[in-house]
This record gives sequence, C-alpha cells and structure tokens, in this order.
Amino acid sequence: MAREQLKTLTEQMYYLLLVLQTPNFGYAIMQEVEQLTKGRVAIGAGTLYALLGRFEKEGIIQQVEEIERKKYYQITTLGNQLLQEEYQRLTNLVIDGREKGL
Amino acid sequence: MKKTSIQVPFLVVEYKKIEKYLEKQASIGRKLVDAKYSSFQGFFFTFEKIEPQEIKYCIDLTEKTDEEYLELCKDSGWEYICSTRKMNFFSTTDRNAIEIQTDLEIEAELVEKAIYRREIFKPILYGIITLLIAVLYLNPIDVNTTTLRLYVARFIGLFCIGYGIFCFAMVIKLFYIVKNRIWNKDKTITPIFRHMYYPFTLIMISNCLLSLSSDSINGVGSYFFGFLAILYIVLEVVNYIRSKQ
Repeated sequence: MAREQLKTLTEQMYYLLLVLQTPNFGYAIMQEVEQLTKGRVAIGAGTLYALLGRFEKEGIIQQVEEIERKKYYQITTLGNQLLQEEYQRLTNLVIDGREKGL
Repeated sequence: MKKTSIQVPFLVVEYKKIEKYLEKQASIGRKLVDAKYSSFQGFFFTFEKIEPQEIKYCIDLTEKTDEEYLELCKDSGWEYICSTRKMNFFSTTDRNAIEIQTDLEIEAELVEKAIYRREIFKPILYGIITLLIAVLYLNPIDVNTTTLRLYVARFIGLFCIGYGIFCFAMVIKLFYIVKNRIWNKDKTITPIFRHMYYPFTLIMISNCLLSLSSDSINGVGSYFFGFLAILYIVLEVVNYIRSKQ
C-alpha cells in the first residue's frame, strides 16, 4: 500500500526525507528545506504535519526522541531505500537529458 | 473592547473566499476573534474593532489538530484564532509567511473529506425530504378535503419538485468542484446556493400549517412531515440562539 502510493516522491517529500537523514523536528525541517533550496521549495506547516503523520504511519520515518515537547523524527531503512530509488530515478532523468544534448 | 457579530451564509467549500472576505474586513478595521458554523445559517463571525490594517487569513481543514500541529503553525508565523467544525482559522501580519498548505494533493484530500463528510449531507437530505413531500401532496388520497386546501397542496408539491431538483443539482455541483479541484476559483458557487435553507424553511412552515390545520390531506404521511417540520423549525431556532451566544 505504502509503495503503491509513493511511486514517485513530490519535491516536498524528497526534501523532507533528505533533511531527515539527521534527526530533526518540525519547524527546523521547514527552515532547513528553505535554506537548502534557497527559498525555492517551501513546505507549509499543515502540509508538513500531514506528511510527517503519513510517513510515520507508513514506516518511512520514525520518532526518535522528544525534547521540550518537540518531536524529533529520523528516516528509517525503508525510507532510505525509497530516497535512494528516487535519487537514482532523478539521476537517470539528468543522464538521459544529457545524452539528448541538453 | 467593542465587538460585532456578523452572520454570513458561506459554504464550507468556499473557504478560500472566506479568507478574502476576512481580509477585506481587516482592511476596514474589523479583526476576527471568533467564528462559529451552523449548518442552517452558515458562519457567525465575531469581530473586534482595530485600526484598519492588512491581515492575511488562512483557513486550514486539517482534522486532527494536536499540539504539534498548532506549534508548527505558530512557529511558521500563523497565529491561531479558533476552530469550528474542523475548520481552523489562522491569521498573520507577515506578508511573506508560507501558506499552511503548499501541496495541492494533500489540500485536495482535506477538501474532499470536508465536503463529503459535512457539506454534501444537507442538500441530499433536503432533496429527499422535499421530493417525498411532493409525492405526498401531488397524490391526495383524502378526497373529502376542500378545494382550496387541495390547490395549496398541489402548489407546495410542485414547488417541492423544483426545490428537490435544485438540491440534487447542488450535490452534483459539489462533486464536480471536488473532482476538478476548482474550489479556489472565484465563481464556482453562485450565491443562490448559499441561501438554500430559506426555501426549505418556507416549505417546512407551510407544510406544518397545512398538515396541522383540521383534517389532513394525506393521513399519517402528512402528520409525519408535519412533525418533521416542527422538529426542523425548533432545531433551527435552537441553533440560531446557540450560535448567537
């Protein structure tokens, strides 16, 4: 079921997983994604909340600790696998583009 | 602090329009402090008098709102105002604040849930009830009734058919809006849909008067609808009083 829904990740999902390779909490995730993409990709609070809930349910991320009522999340092995696949897919897109002379 | 309460018959599906409405209110010096929703009369907004200023509003339809959610919204610059019927009202004065929903896919899911669970129920129910009333009144079984009463019954019956069709048109319209994701377009809902409970109240009141005035036209059936009408009117009055408080 989880795999079915997430065949390709959206940009926001991709960056969320990328940032969660180290444990991180809600607002810090938003800021880090914004910094990483220089403001190009922004994850809204409601969207982030929905994504965190969904990813945790599907075992892609997990809660690792809770400090001062802030929940810290980190990517799981399953999540890493997903991220690698997506990375491979994106690389293939670029390679194919290059081959066609872009 | 001086407060004013205003009733606005918006539908849930128009939540993007409500945001714009509230922003306009802020620009004429009214700041939202509380919102209540009643399925009969729409929204009741309580405003506080302020200096006219630019305030951005956001209505989020997230259903499960816990501390983590509210903290996230607060950290990203949105001040929580209130929630009514699983609609969460936020405001900000920061013009560059990131929208609460940035993913169309997720927002579409939330809208779909909100419409299918809360909004579509009313027109379906109204449509079924009015069409049943129409069937009842267009086939009078009691031939001993007066001619006048018979004509009134026929008139109500015909009106009910029209209204029932209108209700189901609204149901189809709601499905169409959700499926094509056009809830944030300006002209998706014609204002006439917002006032759909007025004719229904009218039908119920006339139905009530007709079925309770001496001998009934259709025996038990119209007594049942008469009872339903009284129940409806009582509910509406209670609802009105409650949302005023």
